[in-house]
Amino acid sequence: MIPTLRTVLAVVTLTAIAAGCRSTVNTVENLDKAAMPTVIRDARIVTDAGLDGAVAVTRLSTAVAATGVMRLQVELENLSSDPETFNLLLEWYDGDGMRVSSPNEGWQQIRMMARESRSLVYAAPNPTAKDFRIKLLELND
Amino acid sequence: MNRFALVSVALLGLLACGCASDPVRIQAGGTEAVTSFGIDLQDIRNAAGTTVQAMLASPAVAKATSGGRMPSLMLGSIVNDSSLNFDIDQVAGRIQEDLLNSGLFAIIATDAGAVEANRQDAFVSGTNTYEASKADYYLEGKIMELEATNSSTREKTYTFMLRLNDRNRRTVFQKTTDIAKQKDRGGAFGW
Repeated sequence: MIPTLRTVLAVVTLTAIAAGCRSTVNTVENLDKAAMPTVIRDARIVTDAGLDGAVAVTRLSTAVAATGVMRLQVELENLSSDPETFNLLLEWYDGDGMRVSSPNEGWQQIRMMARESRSLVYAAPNPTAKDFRIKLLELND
Repeated sequence: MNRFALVSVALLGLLACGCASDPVRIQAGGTEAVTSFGIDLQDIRNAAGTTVQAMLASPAVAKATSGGRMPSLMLGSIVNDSSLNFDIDQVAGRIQEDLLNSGLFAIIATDAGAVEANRQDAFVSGTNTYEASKADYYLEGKIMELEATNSSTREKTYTFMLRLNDRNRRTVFQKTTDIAKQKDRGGAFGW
């Protein structure tokens, strides 16, 4: 059966609409990096496999600012072909493992485009904070 | 009144009062908190937290605190230029608390009790009260609002702009945090 011109046009239009609804982020960066980040190992407890499959913490790196406070860079990637909205909470702990709290600590809502990579930078509340814990929670609409 | 009318009235009554629920405690500013089109606790925490974190990691603050110095800081005015009416101390107080707890700054109190006590001490010792009210740095800022709409969507962006100025009136640090919110306009008059 030879498709009519109308059928071909309809298929092309539908394909274009379908592709347009699922646009993903293309990323380009310099290959030969000048930076030498201190990448650290992490331990993970995954209770929501769905979120873990959609949004990944790809790398954690730390540095110490000249003020003595620890800086943390969390690199995230949206692995899915749809935008993802989720909540992130960062907790800090001092050298004795005790929680270092802040009045501004709280869940932060983050929206990432499809296949987007993003680096979030945080600074510890004070120079005593040495360890951290990151929590990710899917947004329930 | 016929039976149909009675049943209708009873059903309407049930509908009117049957939907209420008892209040429950939630995590303040947590994921269960109401997200409004205005500025919520989570927005304030994020804006204040982002500002303080950037400040604590900034070279200007490192320079000011080098050699174990603890510069004094006074909270200046944070002007709310947005259309929202909320207590500016929700922002200013949180920033002040974080800076104080960082151990990197001393905060100069401006409350009447502290000012009066300082005045009395200065009178007794014959010193100048003015010295106590002088800070090395002053924090000031502004909260602004932008609105954009099209036929179907309404969007608001709240901008928190905070500056740290030194005694020579030089701005040594500035941080801008944007929080954007969007919602459908709803019906023809849906605002």
